[in-house]
Amino acid sequence: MSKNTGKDVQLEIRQGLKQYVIGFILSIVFTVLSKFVMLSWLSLFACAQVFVQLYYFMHLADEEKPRYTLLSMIFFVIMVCIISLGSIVIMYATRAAH
Amino acid sequence: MSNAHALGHEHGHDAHHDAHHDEHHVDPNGLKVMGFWIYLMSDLFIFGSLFAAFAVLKDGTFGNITHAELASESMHNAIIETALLLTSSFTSGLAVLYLKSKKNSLVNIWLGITLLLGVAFLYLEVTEFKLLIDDGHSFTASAFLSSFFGLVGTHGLHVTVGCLWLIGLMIQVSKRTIDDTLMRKVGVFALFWHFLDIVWIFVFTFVYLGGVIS
Repeated sequence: MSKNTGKDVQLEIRQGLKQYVIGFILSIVFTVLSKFVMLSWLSLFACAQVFVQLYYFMHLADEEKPRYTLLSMIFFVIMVCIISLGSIVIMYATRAAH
Repeated sequence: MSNAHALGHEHGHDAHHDAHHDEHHVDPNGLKVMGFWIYLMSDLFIFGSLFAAFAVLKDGTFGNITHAELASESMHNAIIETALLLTSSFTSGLAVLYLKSKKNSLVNIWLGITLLLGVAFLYLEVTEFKLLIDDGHSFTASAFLSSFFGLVGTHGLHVTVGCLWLIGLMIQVSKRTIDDTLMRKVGVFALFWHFLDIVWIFVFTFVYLGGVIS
């Protein structure tokens, strides 16, 4: 590990702080806006929030080149969407049949 | 790996060498963080199923309180809970950031604020649950309330476990020097906390806002 001088660390913290503050402001904006939108737009705002959390807080984009975490996450999210959305579609279809 | 080997024939030995290089120098802390990501994603299955159950059962009110009534009754509370959890997600991120300064007290201050916000969130949630149960809207009253308490309660349980974890973490931060292992421990906790915030955003959107708007 390379030894950082005090100034480098200060600069790094200031840059990181900027990222966190941007993320925090964006997530507040999306939350407040989602109170004033139609039902069909709600999921869009929730997804935007997820993106803000993953990018600004969880630093998913900073991962090094073989992006195993990102890949496994995409896989899991697709599986969860198939299972939960699929269950909802099937359950509503069976209800409509009665 | 087979792709890298196939490419190795075209690009000479470089691609071949790089593939092996990556395989043998694995950072154990990085691997543990990735393992934690996989745990978080499998936790997503639990919440995904509970959300699906909620979406299916939300009209099964059995003469008890409806989704719209519950949502408008709890809206005020839910907005404050959202603000608390969002802010605590931010402060837990700042704790990770200030690990770089190597000042344990600074990290612990941000972790402490996170803990306070988390406990305040839990207090509000328990108050809301108690109010509902006292009014006769217990989880046994209807399918809708079962799915509501199941979903929101599971999230609350995660926050509770997170708060206990945070107490243990703060003790470690106060006693140890900040090295790669401690940085990983705080980082992994922050990932868990951000994940809970993501789940709460969906709870707030579909359980509370969805009930008010529809």
